[in-house]
Amino acid sequence: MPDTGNVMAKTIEYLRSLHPSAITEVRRTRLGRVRRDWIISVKQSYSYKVLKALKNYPGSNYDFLVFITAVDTQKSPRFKLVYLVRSIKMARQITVEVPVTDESSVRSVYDIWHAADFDEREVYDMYGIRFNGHPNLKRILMPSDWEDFPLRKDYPLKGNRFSDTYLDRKLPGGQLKKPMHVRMP
Amino acid sequence: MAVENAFITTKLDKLVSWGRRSSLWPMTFGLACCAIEMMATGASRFDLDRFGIIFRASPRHSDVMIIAGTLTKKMAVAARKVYDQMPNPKWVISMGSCSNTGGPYDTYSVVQGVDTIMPVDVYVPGCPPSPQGLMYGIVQLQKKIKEKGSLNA
Amino acid sequence: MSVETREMLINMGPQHPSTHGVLRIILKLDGERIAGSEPEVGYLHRGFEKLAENMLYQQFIPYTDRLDYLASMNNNQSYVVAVERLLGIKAPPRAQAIRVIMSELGRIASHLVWLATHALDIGAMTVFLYCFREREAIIDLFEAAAGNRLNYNYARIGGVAFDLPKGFKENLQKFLDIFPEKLDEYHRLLTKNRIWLSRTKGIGILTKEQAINWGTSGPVLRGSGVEWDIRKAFPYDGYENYDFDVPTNQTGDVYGRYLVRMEEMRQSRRIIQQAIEHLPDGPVILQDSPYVSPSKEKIMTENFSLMKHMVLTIKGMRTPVATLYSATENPKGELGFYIVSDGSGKPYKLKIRAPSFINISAMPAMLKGNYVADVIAVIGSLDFVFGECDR
Repeated sequence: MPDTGNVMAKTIEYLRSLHPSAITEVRRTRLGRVRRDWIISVKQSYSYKVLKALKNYPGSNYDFLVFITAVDTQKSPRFKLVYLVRSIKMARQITVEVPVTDESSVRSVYDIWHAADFDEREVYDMYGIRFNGHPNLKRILMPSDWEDFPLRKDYPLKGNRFSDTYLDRKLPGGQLKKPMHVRMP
Repeated sequence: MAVENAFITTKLDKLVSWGRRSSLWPMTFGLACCAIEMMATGASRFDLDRFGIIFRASPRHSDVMIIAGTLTKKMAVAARKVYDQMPNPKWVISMGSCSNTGGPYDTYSVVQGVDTIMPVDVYVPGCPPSPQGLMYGIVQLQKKIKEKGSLNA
Repeated sequence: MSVETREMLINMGPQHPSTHGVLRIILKLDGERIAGSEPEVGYLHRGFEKLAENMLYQQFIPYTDRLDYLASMNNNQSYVVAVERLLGIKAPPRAQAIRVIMSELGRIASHLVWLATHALDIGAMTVFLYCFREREAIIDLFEAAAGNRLNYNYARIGGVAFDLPKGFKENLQKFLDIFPEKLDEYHRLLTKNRIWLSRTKGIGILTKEQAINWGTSGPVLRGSGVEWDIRKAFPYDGYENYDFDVPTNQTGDVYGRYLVRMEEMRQSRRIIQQAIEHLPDGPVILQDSPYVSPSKEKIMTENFSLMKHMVLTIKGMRTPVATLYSATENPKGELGFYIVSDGSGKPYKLKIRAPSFINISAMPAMLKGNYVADVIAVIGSLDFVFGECDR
């Protein structure tokens, strides 16, 4: 990927001019001599405004949302949302990181990019972060009556007591045999 | 109820077993990668039609269920419903490591083996089993039907 | 007498012969027209991302096969390229060329299965058998090179696992020679067929703005007129050295996406021809890198190589503390890996950006206003695979 310095620096200047106190950190990852990603950290209260400004940035509007995910940092604040947006016309992308200080007031970006639909549902399903303004916030990968959030760092890989006995409740007659880590812990 | 093994009923038993094993109609239950190998077994190089096998989509028409692929807890409820809808006599072939024992996925959402929810007759190992392996498994099931007979249920 | 009508809810359940895996769609019907639909996924969720946090980078390569199991070579290459970018290393030129050949063969194989199942669902059964016959030829090549018919586990961090076997080049050339006339055969069967046209033209339209807004990628995006291919925009593994076109179509319907994929198969054949003619010599894996195990001869004879191999396999590599997103162009779309690394040999977080997951979310926009029978045509044209959608 060629050097994106000029275009990206202009983008960040534009964002800073609109919302001066939103961006807390700007960095570029430099790995070997090959990759240079641009990453900005944004305060949670400004996340929707900054993302909307990116979408409407004149000249190279960032119209393609690549993915949304969350990271469980095991520090405070616990969760960090990551958005990657890309401008197809300019072939540039920028990562926006949002530390989630208040889990109940994250604003959904569905009305900016519809591509956020399934990704935000997956973040809710796996980490438990709720998005306000999402049209259909339900579990997507796990069954709808599942409890607890699997990708958090304190959830065991093989499942907890709820997941071991899930089929006993759902099937007529229950399971014919128990999973191995229950029979021989 | 056991039928007396007189001469006529043994011959009848053999005839019925021959009919049942030579025209096994499986239900398509392809879940993951093993489904592709099942499709390849049914295609032109390793033909399954010569065994009398026609893939049927409805559980009410079929007598064997080939579970090909990983069974998750979300899907297990649907799989059990489909199994209950099949009429007797019915058999189950578990194809591939994921349906035998959960495969390489020992996680919170994968059922560790399809025999957790239904009785299985033949286990075919492999990841995925080659078409020759699946055909060997089907032939083993045919042998099992021949040996067990049909009238002594 | 007045007749009241109400919308009807129909469930296309997870077990269905034409849903290409385990997809559940809840359709809201107004007579025969679709008023709304909601796909429900997650029936094949196996927990890849949590598994990745518990194992070393090298140990995760066989799991990436099972993401999009129709194009395992492409997934392997995608993951390995992502880890190589994280470490700042590059595979030797011969390995890059071999990875390109295998990926393009995988693209042809995946599109053949797409065509076979799509045509079978719409009603053309002959195409299914013809496509699988061509696919068997490709699978023979893969079996000779990697050892398995599906799920190859061929790429390694720093190159590929084994060199090409004897006779591979001749067999590959034989396949490349007969393939164009087979493609023309499929075109003769389908492209101007009246039944095919009436079942696919004007169905499932996705406009250009919708395609970008819903985040679709791959042939779905290109079928709506957007010229975007990661092999051209962010090249990897030497794709900038090959000469190929990227087909697009302006209509955005099922027929347009069909034409895009057929043309992509032709372009893949062009890339493989160039790659195999200019295949460079040399090693197929990095020899003196701190991240790659030495060769077996060195491990068995030198003490230092044995210790390095032991540390790499038990404790893992020493990675930089960074985050990285790296994407490649899979047959289904853009497969990306977002790696958060904390310096140890295991990833702290690995997010798999799966094309099928995002493409399926665009399905309700495509289905609105069409008939129930068109659902099957649209599902076929989206070409999703549940291994990667549900991970």
